[in-house]
Amino acid sequence: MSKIFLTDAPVVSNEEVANRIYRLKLRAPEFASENRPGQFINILTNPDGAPLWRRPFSIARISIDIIEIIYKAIGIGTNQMAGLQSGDAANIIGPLGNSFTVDIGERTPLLIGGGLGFAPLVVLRDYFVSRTKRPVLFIGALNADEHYYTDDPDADLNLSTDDGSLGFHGLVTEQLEQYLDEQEAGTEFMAYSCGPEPMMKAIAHICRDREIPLELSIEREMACGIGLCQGCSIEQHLPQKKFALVCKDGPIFNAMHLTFTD
Amino acid sequence: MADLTTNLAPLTLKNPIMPASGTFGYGDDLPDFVDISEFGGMVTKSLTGTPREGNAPPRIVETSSGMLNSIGLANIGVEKFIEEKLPVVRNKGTILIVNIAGSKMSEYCRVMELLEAESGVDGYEINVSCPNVKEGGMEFGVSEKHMKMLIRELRDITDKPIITKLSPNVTSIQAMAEAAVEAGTDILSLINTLVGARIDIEKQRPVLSTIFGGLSGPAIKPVAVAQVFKVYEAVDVPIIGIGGIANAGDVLEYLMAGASAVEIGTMNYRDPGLGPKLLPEIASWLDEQGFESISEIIGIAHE
Ligand SMILES: Cc1cc2nc3c(=O)[nH]c(=O)nc-3n(C[C@H](O)[C@H](O)[C@H](O)COP(=O)(O)OP(=O)(O)OC[C@H]3O[C@@H](n4cnc5c(N)ncnc54)[C@H](O)[C@@H]3O)c2cc1C
Ligand SMILES: Cc1cc2nc3c(=O)[nH]c(=O)nc-3n(C[C@H](O)[C@H](O)[C@H](O)COP(=O)(O)O)c2cc1C
Ligand code: FES
Repeated sequence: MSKIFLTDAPVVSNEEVANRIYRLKLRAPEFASENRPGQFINILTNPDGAPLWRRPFSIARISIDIIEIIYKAIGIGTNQMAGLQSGDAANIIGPLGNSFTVDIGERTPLLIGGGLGFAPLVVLRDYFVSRTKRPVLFIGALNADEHYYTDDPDADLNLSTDDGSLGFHGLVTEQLEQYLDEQEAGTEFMAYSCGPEPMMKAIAHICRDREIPLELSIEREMACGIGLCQGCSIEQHLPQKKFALVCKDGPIFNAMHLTFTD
Repeated sequence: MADLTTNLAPLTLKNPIMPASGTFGYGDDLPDFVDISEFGGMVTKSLTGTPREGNAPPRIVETSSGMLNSIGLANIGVEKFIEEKLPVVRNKGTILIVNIAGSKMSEYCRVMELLEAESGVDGYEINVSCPNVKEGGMEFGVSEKHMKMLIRELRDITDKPIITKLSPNVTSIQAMAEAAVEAGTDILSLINTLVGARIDIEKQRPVLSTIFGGLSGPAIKPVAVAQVFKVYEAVDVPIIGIGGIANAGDVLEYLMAGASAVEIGTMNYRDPGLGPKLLPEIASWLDEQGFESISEIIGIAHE
């Protein structure tokens, strides 16, 4: 298991990159050697009061001394975060949770994100690109304003919007199916996805039908993020262990192990 | 510097702060920045006779200044604890208190008997008050008669200190405290969580799968301080105060209300290292006020 830190990480920048979507960069050199793709941090958004719980966010990018998260301001904690400025510090615990399987031999990585769900896949994209693999990315969102990752020379980038304002007009799952149907027989993939659960369920069905292994990054409300409260449980297909903890056994799960993808 | 040692007869703690059951696991799997030996003691998650998966999700939700949980005693069971956890936690350099729960009297007894055969356990905290388990039918925490029966049985099994953890969900907590002491309890701890619920207004349904859960966190502190205050006047055994502790001032409040030590629960989720961080401030407050030890302020609010 990797080492877990609690630290006041200085804010390097916090920019709005799309509609209410922010990219927060924090200086946290201790994380660089510990982080594995798929892990998350838990931010204390208000050290002086509400909300009570920290808020979890996937690490979207990591360099020698900077970690980056991409978040949408949707409620009390994320709106507090939107006010962070360079010079401030964010109290974080991490890196937390397990990580994606990255040893995939000759398989081609397929990274499928819905809305904000692309955040944890960016770090995975970086991992593969740095190892001279060319990942295939699918990112779906409601409309062009919700897209924050629109250019990538080192990957095959496929964008879609529900309203057709950018890229493929339709659901990310439809674009994914079309793509897979066009591939030569025998091409082997390893798929990764994060996004709304109905989307991940549809992707699980697409992958199951084509025998493509799939890992999902799962979100649950978390009181502690480190396995102490037993609150973030999710039902899985293991008779000897019906519930897994998303914060500790996850957030990355084999799609076939979870009951919601049935 | 003021002496932070506290007398929780028959136990002596090097300082008055412990983690509350269910918020620190078994003490073996904490993040690297937490040093369990800096706590006055370690209280484990409730252990039952066999492993439990707990209730269906969702089983936690945030509330104003607090949270609700309906974990339902998810735990690894006493046997696995003895095999895998005890050998690690008994050497952590602090007092080890094992919290015991069950749905039947025989289950509590079996857990204690198995632990009695091992070394390294300094005392037992008896969870008679978990609102989240619906089996067995006997609610030890709300019936004086049943609680007495249970504590008497356990008293026959062990000579180690028995801490009975009281439920706030009763008409008279003093009556429950008196019953527990009469049956042989050495120390009382209070409070466990208060029954609460939240409704999801979009789904128009309860948030928790079990409808009701246990309320904890700063929201419950005034309730808990009141109950500690009452129990201090009703019985002569040491008290451990629990409920909503977030800072050094909160600890001092409990001590003044009559607690000899405290347990911190929900606030560990914000920072599991919180407890020991409060000690220097407590010590300097005592120094500034001219107190030489913690014992001088225990129950001082009653004078
Ligand atoms: C492991 C993990 C990784 C995550 N990574 C990211 C990320 O990279 N970027 C990002 O923007 N978000 C991410 N999230 C979700 C993020 O934690 C929530 O958006 C955040 O907690 C909301 O906090 P808030 O106080 O602003 O919202 P609140 O005021 O608490 O809630 C506002 C609304 O959002 C809903 N909500 C709260 N938490 C979640 C959640 N976890 N999922 C869905 N809806 C929720 C509430 O039910 C409510 O309706 C992640 C969650 C987990 C568990
Ligand atoms: C998620 C959670 C799990 C808990 N599990 C237990 C338990 O297993 N046994 C027990 O006696 N108390 C349990 N408690 C109750 C706490 O030990 C404590 O009595 C209560 O939370 C009040 O303290 P606090 O406000 O500091 O959290 C639990 C509390 C929480 C929040
Ligand atoms: S959030 Fe507490 S155990 Fe996962």
